[in-house]
Amino acid sequence: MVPKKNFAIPTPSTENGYVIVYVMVFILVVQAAAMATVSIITFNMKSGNAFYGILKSKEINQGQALYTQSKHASPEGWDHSYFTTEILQKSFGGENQIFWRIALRKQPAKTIRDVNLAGHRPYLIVLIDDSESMNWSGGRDYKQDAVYLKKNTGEIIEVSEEIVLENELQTPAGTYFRGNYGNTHYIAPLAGYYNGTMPSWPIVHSYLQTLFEDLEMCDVSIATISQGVIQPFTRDRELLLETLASIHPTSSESALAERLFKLVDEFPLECITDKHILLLTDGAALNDGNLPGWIQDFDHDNDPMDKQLAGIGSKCLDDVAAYAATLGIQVHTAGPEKSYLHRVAENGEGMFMPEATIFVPQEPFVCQMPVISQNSRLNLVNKLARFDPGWLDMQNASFYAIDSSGQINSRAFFPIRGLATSHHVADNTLYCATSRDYLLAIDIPSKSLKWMLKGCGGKLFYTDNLLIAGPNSSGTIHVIKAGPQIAWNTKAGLIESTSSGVYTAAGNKITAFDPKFGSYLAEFSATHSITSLRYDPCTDFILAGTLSGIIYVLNPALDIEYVLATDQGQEVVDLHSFHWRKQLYILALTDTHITCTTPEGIAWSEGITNGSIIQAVVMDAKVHVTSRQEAHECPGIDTGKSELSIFDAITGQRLSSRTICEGNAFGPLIDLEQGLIEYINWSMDSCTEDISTLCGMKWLGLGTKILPPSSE
Amino acid sequence: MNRGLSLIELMLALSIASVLIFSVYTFTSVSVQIYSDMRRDWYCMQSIRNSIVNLDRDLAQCAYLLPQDMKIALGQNQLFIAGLPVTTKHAGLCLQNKSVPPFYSIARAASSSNIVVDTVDIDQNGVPDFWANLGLISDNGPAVVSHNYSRGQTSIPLRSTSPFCTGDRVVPAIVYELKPGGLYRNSQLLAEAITSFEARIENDFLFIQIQAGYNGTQKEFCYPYAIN
Repeated sequence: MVPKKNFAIPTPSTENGYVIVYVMVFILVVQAAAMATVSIITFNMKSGNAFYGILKSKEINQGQALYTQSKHASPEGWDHSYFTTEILQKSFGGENQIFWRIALRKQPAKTIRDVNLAGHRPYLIVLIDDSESMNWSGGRDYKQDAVYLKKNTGEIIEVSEEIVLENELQTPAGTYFRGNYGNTHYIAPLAGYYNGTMPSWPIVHSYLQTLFEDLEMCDVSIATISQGVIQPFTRDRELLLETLASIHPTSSESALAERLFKLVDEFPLECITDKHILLLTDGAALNDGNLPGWIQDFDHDNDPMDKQLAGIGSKCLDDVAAYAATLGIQVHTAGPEKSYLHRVAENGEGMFMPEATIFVPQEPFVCQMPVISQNSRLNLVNKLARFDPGWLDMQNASFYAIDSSGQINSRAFFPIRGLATSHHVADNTLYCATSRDYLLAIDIPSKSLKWMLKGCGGKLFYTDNLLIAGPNSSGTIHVIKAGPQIAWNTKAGLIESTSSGVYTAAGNKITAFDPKFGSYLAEFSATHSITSLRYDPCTDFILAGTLSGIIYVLNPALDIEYVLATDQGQEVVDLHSFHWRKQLYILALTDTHITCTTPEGIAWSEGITNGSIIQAVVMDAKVHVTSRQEAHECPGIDTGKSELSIFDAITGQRLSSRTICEGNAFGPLIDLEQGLIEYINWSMDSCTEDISTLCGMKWLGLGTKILPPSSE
Repeated sequence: MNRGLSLIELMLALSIASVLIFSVYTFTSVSVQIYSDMRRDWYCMQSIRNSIVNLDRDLAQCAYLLPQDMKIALGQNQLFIAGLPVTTKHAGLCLQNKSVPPFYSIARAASSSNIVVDTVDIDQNGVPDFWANLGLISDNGPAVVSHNYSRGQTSIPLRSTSPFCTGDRVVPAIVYELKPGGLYRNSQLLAEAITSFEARIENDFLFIQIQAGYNGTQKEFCYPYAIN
């Protein structure tokens, strides 16, 4: 029998107890290896997790990004009037990225006041027969429905305004009568002889009024047979109409040929391309023909009446017209339908009853920048001295006119008159004003005229559904609401508009009005006449330049914020503002100088040699100034050369200068999509300047913000 | 029959036991050594990691809504990263309707130890954007806001000599500084094992060389960052 052994640690093995040592060693090794592995894994996991976080943040996130765009004030170094900052926020994957670029607030449009083409400078002398015979029959009857006025001075004229009357109406201005009534009660002398009840005077008077309405870009002088020149050459239509109204056919003399002969020397010697004399007469000469013998029968027609005659009868007029034609003067005639007047016009190489189109430029030209909207480029072309772009559809348009009471009335169709001299684009509508105060609202996508309003012109603004236009040729500013309807109007010489106020300047006074109602808000009086007015949308300041070179910086309530001076003391014609390093800079443009001022004083001033400044725009702390060297003898938008000079806006250092076009440069037209600014001249030759490298033309990053986990 | 251990068996058992005990000791010793090395490595790497994570986050948000030409500035053992750290008291810079980025202050007056700025609320949200121990970057160099600065004041005392000039743009910045105690971020200890912190700018790249050391263990890390 084998005795049982007792061990402190019993083992299940029946073998020797080495096995437990093996097991323990094995377990120990495994345990150590496991601990080491776990330790390494833990360490690596922590490191890996941390760097995963870093790498993850650098990976392109596949999630849906959220884009938000907003418009802010102008960025530094960019013109406050024309540019804004466009901010793009891109949010994705717990990050918020910000980008910015330049956006256009509005194009730097400029209202052109007086358009001249040196290559087309016609001069027209309107010679009016003011003899008593103009009250005799003109061979026509009165128009049945037309209204005529027999003035207190005796002559009869046709009235264009709509006057309600049945037969006749006595007024302080004279007696109004309707044509059908006049045919029986206002029969002109010699009506039986000439077969017409209406005198010659209303014929030539209404013709001349229409001619003056249509004439553009033509210097006109008015002379009468009895007095000679009574109105020197001018383009002031109002002045011409006033002069016309002052002429009364009361002279007992009618020396037609003698006066025509004297007038051939009345034309200026220089800067004239065409000479015209328009003779308005019935053709009946009285005590005429006192001329040098060689001219009495200049056309060699052997007319026995080609001589001086006392009383009626001399026929030297056609001879003098022929003589004038040899001097390059075209003689036209207007009046009763008489063969003699046709002959005079023929001899004078002119026309009988010519239309205004023969006195205006025949080739198309522009005096405004094109309009770019929705990938459309619309050239504002003038043809025959009126806005006639070719692409404009006038079907289905409405026509309105402002009456003497200042209200808008619907009218039948009337043609566009005047050159396109200002424009403004708002809500797919192109508002265009002409030099003759015709305001057009054009739907850009369809290129169709929505409505045309006669009586509004000047600079155009559109804010809060109000169209503000002015001043027109009579100095009136109109605020037009939907309809169109006149919201209110006022008289002033300059205008600037904001959403909270319309600011006008007249003389040395600036007045603020409520845009909707025209109620008075505030007033400011300067020490000198205000010559330029500009609203700064970034600072909400009103900038006013004066004749003496002083610049007033006013708040919306027209309280003075700063008074700045230019070093030249010249008339400030335009103002621009920008900021740099939080400093407000104001550029004051005079005819020949640019002065850059800050509230602390003048930063710099530079002159433009041999030219005058047209326009300036500040972009990326650089001032792009267009100036023009004009031919002094014969000014016109087609003469001289335009230069583009670029100045450092902070230091005034001239960076570059180059000629951009012949004649006056209109623009710039800023095309941010293409990275170009474009200038155009009268004949539509364009010149571009690359601005794509300017800071802000492309989206620029403004950093990234990692959003807190809670907001992810 | 009772059998005991023979001498040979005993000798053999003792030999085997000795070998086993020695093996276990050696193994344990090596394990402890490895574990200690790993602890030191981990400690160094943890410091580097902590530094890199913060640097990366700050650089990712570098110059947010601030001038992009003032992103980075270097000082003596200092790195200034333009931006405002998000804290419990400040949500960072934000975009306002009335303001146009980039935001900055203008130095209205500057002396060797003080600067007066036009505003301390550069994003115009009503919350001051400068505070004590924050870095500043100007057109002429960086500086650190003194610990004594009273938040909201436009007169800002500086901890070191000011390089600022009147008219300079000034933006807030996060400042990394190497001190004897380790790497500090806005004067708060970030990583104590960091023994070397070098930042240099080459070809529009910022290179940050970080070295951590602990009980003889050295770890190094180079972090490149494209400035533009």
